[in-house]
Amino acid sequence: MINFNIIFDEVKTFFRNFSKNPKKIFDNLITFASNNWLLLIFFFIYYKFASNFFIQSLNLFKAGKGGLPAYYNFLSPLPDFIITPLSITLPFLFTLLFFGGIHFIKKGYLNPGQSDRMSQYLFLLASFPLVLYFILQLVYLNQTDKSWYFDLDYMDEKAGFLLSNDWPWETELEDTRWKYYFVGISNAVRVVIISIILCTIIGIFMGVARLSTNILLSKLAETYVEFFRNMPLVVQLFFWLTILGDILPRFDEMINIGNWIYISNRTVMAPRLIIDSNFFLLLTIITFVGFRFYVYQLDKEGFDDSDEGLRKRFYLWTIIFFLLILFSKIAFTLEQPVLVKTNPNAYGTWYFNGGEEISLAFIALMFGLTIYTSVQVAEIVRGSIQSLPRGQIESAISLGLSPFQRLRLIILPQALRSMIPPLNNQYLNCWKNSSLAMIISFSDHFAVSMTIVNNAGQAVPVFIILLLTYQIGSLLISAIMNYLNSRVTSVKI
Amino acid sequence: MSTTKSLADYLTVWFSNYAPVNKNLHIRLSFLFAFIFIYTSLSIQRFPSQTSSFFSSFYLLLSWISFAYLGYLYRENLFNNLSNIIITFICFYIIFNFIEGIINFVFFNANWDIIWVNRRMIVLGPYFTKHGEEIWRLWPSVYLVGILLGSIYGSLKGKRRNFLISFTIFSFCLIIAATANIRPEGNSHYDYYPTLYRLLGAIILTYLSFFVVNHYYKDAPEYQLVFLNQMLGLLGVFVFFITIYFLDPPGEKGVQPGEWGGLVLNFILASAAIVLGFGVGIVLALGRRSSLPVFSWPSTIVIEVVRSGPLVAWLFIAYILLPDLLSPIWDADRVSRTILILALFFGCYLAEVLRGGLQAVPNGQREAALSLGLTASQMNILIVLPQAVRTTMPAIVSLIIGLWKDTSLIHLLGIHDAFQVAKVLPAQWEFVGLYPEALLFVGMIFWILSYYLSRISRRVEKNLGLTNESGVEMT
Repeated sequence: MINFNIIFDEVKTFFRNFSKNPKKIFDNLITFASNNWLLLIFFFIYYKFASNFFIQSLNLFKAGKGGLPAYYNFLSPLPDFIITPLSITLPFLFTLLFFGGIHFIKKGYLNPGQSDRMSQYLFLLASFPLVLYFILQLVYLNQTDKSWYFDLDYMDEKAGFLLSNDWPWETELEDTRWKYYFVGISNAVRVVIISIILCTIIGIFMGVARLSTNILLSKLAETYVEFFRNMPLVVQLFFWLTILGDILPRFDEMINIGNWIYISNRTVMAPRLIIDSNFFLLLTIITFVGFRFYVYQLDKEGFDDSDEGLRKRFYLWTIIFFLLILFSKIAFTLEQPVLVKTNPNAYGTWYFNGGEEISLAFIALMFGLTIYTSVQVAEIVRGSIQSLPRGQIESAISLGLSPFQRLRLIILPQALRSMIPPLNNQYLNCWKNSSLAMIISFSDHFAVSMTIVNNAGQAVPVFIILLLTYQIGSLLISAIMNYLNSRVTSVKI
Repeated sequence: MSTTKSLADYLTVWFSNYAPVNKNLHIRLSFLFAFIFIYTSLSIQRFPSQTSSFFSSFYLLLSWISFAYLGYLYRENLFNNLSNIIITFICFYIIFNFIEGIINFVFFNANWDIIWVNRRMIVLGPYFTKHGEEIWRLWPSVYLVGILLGSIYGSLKGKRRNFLISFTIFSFCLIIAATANIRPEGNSHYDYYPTLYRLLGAIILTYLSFFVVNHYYKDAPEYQLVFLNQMLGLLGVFVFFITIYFLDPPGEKGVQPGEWGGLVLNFILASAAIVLGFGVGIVLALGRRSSLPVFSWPSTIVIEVVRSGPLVAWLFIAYILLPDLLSPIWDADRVSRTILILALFFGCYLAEVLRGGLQAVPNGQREAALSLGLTASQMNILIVLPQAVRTTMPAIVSLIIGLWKDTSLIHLLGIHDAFQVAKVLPAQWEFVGLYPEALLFVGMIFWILSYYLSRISRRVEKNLGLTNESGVEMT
């Protein structure tokens, strides 16, 4: 424990010297100030900071408006004659203690362990006004301000707005806010999954193309990467939305692909997938998973590549393939979108019956996220290919492998090992960047929760749920990527 | 049997050995000529007459010839096997269409009046456009930024003309943009002499500081350069505070931060977030590495919580919730809150980057510092941090680029930054629906700065010897 006698000794010597020769003490103070002017400025700033926070915290204990709420029965409001002296003395005391402690540590009486403990106490002491203020203010806001209530009852109320893009769920005005939030999550997840798959494909292609010996191809890939890497994603998203509205045909001149898909600058209509029988859907999934598991068990002892084994495998695959087709044919039907022209001359009155609407915002968001992330993936692919030792390629060439074989068998499998951790980062970025959907009015869970904040007026729980959702999504992506990473790096080179 | 060579033989030999003396120059020239020929052909197509179709196809052919010359120079790469030949033709098709589309859009189809008429709005925002008399508040910082720019480029060990040529072109563009009439066809006279004199003053100051610094520090030893760089860093921070002081002087009526806008606001936000974020990041990184739980737990919690959400969520928290929490202490406006949250966000990402750098500093460095008698804080500031920053410089620059791009997100909070202005401009009745022009222009401003920063980062990376030079080439 700290030896407090040292402090007392110092104080005693100070007063003894003071009684002996007051003028010398004055000189000493001046030398101290000139040596430690930075510390003194800091002292002053800290005093200001602490007094400000203390005054505000103590004000929260006053009675009446802006102070203690009336229903705090267990706390009696403090009168002014206590608050005023406290708000002067408390900051002064804290400043004195804080800087006394710093001075004490600087003197060097303590061993490292004591010094560590002392600095921790001092940090707690110094941050006490701040922490006190924030806790009191939070409690105050929680009791008085509606947007700081922590209950979740309002999420069970009616949402009162409509969502586009609610596939595969359907939302109605009567649904609760929870349902809307989950539909928003499914929207975001849909876009992110499609973008992640597409961006990986495009990114690998572009990353390999950048290293091509064909200079046109490599320059083209470099232009693509440099252009989309340095352009803000917001600009890209908005640009895609406006460009799609510009280049797609008008509603009355829409492109009709075999009465199944209609493309115009208002919407893109696609056939809707309708689940007829849940039983057969379940059967399809069970068949597929069971077959996968059976093959896994079969291959556990090594791949059987004798004639008999191959024939067995071929029969198995054929039977399962036709079974799956049969089951899914019974389980699903595709519903064609039907264009209804109530008044053939006025295309404002035309509408679609059935079918699934894919909004332009969805396409724009998908384009934006895919391209923006694919650029980063391309850079990662290029970097990890470049970090391979040159001998690998040279030995592949000397083995007589063709360029594509070199890429497929030698380069990419090795590059994959160093690619996955940075790819994980980019997928997380893609997931977080999907929150920009709000800018182009695509209703993902971020946009939905902003609408809920506006409608319900309760902001804090929504933000907590939102951050939790993003965190859970990030953890899921990280878990999958870590699993892949452990699979890829299980063999040590 | 006489071995007389035919003309074809001579040509074959000559062509297969042909290589220009300066290959780079030839490549650039052929590209430029192709560009000019396509432009000419497209502009002839604009005015149809009897001969126009012939001339237009003639110039198109010329552009193909210059492309063919380009391909010929690289014949060993482009035409060495069948797959490469196919790839080359596909790429050529894409590039040709791309260039044609760009020229068509930029020179013929786009209406750039929307940018030219609103240039003041894009740079300064709506408030300064309406209240032209307040623009003087920005001039002191323009002078100081000029001095800063000149001194930084003066202290670099490059060729002088690299800076001088580009800066001269840039300043000519600035002078034209500042002194021309607001509307291209407008005959309303506006008194541009004060602006012109101020701008000329700033440009001359830049040249002067460039030459002075270049003269004294061209061959200066390392420690003097380091000192100069530290002074310039201090000047940069000083410029930042001067800008804010002149824009909104305490005590008298200035321009409130809520009224700032345009590109200037993006610069202010980014630089403020970088300066504050470095402080936050260093504190959090050191705190997270600390062995004392009082420092390491809160920093870990802060870093992980802030990194869990997207920036947009934090911006909305700053917009909706932060005022309630801060209101008794500090009645902060939107812009200040945005700066605070951007700094926190940048600081947390920086802390994670710096943590990697701190871990990479060998422990011997710390032990040596301690055995020299330095205190723990001196050790961190003087020995460990510089090395950590040095090794993580590329990552930090890419974070800065990300921050600079992310400043376009603040338009969600109703702040009139450059992107918001670009989004709103096409609603003017003269320029209805000119979204591509406005968006591309503002996007290109963001692009140019980020690209420049990434080039700098690549150069720094090379100078520090961090790149892996043993690259692999493949088809």
